[in-house]
Amino acid sequence: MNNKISEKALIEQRPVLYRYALIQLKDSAVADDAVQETLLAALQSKIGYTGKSSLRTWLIGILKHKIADYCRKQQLEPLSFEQFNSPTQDPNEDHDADFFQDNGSWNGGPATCTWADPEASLKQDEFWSIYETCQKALPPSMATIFVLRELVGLETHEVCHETGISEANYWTTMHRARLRLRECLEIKWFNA
Amino acid sequence: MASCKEVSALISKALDKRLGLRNLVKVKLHLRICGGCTNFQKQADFMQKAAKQFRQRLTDNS
Repeated sequence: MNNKISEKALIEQRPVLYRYALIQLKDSAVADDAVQETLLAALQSKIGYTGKSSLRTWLIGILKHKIADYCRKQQLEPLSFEQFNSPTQDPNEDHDADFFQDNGSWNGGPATCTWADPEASLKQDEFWSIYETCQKALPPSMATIFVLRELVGLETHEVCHETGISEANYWTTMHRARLRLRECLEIKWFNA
Repeated sequence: MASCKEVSALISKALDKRLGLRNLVKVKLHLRICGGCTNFQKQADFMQKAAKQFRQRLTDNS
């Protein structure tokens, strides 16, 4: 079975693949090359796309090999998303008490602070550097889930597939990431 | 009565997935009386919007 994939379908996946590569390789030219090679390999694939997984999952599979090849050649340590497959097992990340009181009501946070005109922040370069700082300050396992979802732009089930976490774990992790990001933006930007 | 801890988790989840009717009602009733969660919802919406723009910036700079 050799399903022909349209070039258009491949091109549509390019932004997601590029962001995936960029976040791992941290170099736009190298990331671009990896994506080009991936798309080329997909077009030339003898086995082809069998439709067993989604097209995007299949392409990410190819891209991962390209990234691994590159890292091997450059003797870099590739950043594996799978190494973070048990996010809630790190006790340091399990501090609901930081955000909620024992009875489940807010411990400060949004209960005591509203953000003045957040939309205006989006136009300021300084906001984006703070946003990046806060996102990078997330604990690694949390950052991985958050980055795959919000920055690469994968769907929930794709994030779970890539990292091996359960869906329940995904929701918990994303929520904790948002609570932390919220707090960081509040301290470093909105209340600064 | 649902707690802020529970409701905020649902608010977070609703950013990625449609809530079932039961949870939707739970959130709506709670939001009527809770300023903290109302703030959190606005802030979470904003953070998602910011994430989308950040995502766009990553691709645009290529």
